[in-house]
This record gives sequence, structure tokens and C-alpha cells, in this order.
Amino acid sequence: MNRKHKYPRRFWTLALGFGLLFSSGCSTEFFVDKGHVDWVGGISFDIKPPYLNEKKAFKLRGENLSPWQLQQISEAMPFIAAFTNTQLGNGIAPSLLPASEAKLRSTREIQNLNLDTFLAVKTIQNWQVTAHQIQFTIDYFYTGRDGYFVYYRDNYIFKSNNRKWVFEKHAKTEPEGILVCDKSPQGWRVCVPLNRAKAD
Amino acid sequence: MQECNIEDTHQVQGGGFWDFLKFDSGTSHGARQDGNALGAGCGTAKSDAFVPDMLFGIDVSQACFQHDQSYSTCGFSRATADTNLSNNILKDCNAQGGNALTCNVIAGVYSVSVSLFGASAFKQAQAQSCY
Repeated sequence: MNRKHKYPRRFWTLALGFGLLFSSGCSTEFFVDKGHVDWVGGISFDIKPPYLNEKKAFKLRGENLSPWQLQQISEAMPFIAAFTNTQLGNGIAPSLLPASEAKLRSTREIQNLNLDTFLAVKTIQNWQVTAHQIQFTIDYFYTGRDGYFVYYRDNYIFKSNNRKWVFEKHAKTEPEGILVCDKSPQGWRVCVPLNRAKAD
Repeated sequence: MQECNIEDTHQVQGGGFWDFLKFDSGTSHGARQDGNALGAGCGTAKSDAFVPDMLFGIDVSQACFQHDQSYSTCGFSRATADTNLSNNILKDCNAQGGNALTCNVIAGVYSVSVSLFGASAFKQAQAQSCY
């Protein structure tokens, strides 16, 4: 479609949407997230509290996952979301954090982030699922000292243990580290590890 | 020698006369284009299709996502979360090449929106996270 006509049409669609929301007496219903069930490839995912935002960060579409692999991730989701929340460590005094296993890297420690720095999760992706193991990466981000977002990626492997999924080890000896993010032609931010960006 | 036609050039620059009207909720056919669940970025699962993640060609989804996560952190101040949202949009917009007017308009729109509609969302998020 001609770009000349596409953007104004989107504008009026969104303006209409905004108008409907703002005029509706039930508008709060639209802005309060109580969670929902997401269906991907015929598999259900409970995008519900606790750890609602960590679960929203799961990138499950466009990852070329079979129904069986999606089912494994669906079962592991509550455990991975809880683990991610602990890794973020927002508002939790270090003494209250569970004793971290020696082999688990702390993003806060590596990036020298104090407790005042809010660490958020952007995306959990790059899934590799086998019979008893799930491998993935977590993209974190925080506001740097200069006020700009800093993006950071690390890799993880979870294993199943008595119907629970637990952190086993990191997939690589080193984290992917700092990400470089650029705007795609469509305007969305696309992030790649700094090392790979330099190689390209 | 590398060939480069007009269409490629346009895509690389991403520019165009109507790009200042580039609004996008980041959803298509009831799913998010980035592969995440509905409600990631700006808006909730119910409002994701209506609330833009991209305004005037500026991707504000990360500022929204951090704002959501701040609301969901037990004991986090709502005022701080809302101020951070505005500051993050301004900085992130600047980093994406937005001019001062555009960035202030975007930050203003989202600040007013969370002021008007954030109270119940904050209350709900805190109730879910403090247990």
C-alpha cells in the first residue's frame, strides 16, 4: 500500500482507539493487567501473576519451536520467570537474596549496579529445547549513568528435576554482554551483542 | 561494486515525508510483532492494539516495559515510576534521533496517560507483587 495513505490511516485508527478508551466508563479495565492465557502453536501459556512482566518477556513466536518444545517451555515458564525476577533483584537487599550458586553469574555484580538502579528484563529468547534441558538467553536493560538505556545479555540452561525446572549452568563460559541496539527500517529497536556488531 | 537502488536507500534511511505520522501499536492480527506476549511494551493485554509502542517514528516500548516492571515491584513509588517513564522516553527519543519538540510531546502524552489511568494499574500491580 502507498505509504502516503498507510500512515494517516493508522493515525486515525489509533486516534479513534484512544478516543474510545478515554471516553469509556470502563477504561480502567483496559489499563489494569490481570493476565491472560496466550496460545502459541496450540500450546497454552499462563501469562498471569506472579511474575507477570517476566512472563510477558518470553519471546515464543518466530523461534521455530515445535509443539512439544513449546509444551516444555510452558511447563518451565513459572520457574524461569521466578528465576528472572530473582536475577533482577529490584528492591531486595542483598542479604535477603537466596545464596547464589557459585556458577551463577550476577548481572548486577558484573555491571556494577547498585540497588538504586532498576534492572528490567527486555526479552527471553533464543530457545533450544531438548529432552531434559532448556537453553535460552535473557536480555536485561537499565538506565545508565548518562540517562540512556544499557542492554545486556546472558545465557542460561535449565534442567528438569522432579517436575521442577532449575538453573543448571550457563550455556557459555561468558555472557554475550553489552548489546548494541539500532533502529530497523520499520523503526523498531534491534539489538545484537557488541562483539558481533564489531565483527560485522 | 555494490548495487544500490532507490528503494534500498529509502529503507536504510527509513525516512519519508509521512514518517512523522508513524504510529504503531506493535501488534498485528492479535499478536505482538516482536514475538512477545500481548501486554509487553505499552498497554495491557486488552489495550495493546490501541496503545502505540511507536509514536512519531520513535520506539517507546522499552520505557513502557520498565514502567510496567516498576509498578510490579513491591514497594516501588508510583511517582518515581511515572517520573522515570517521562525521563526515559525523553532520553530514548533523543537517542533515536527525535527532535526536542517531538520528544517532549511523546513524553507529555504518556505522562498524562499514566496520571489519568495509572492509579488502578499501580494498585493492582502492587497487590500482585507484595505477598
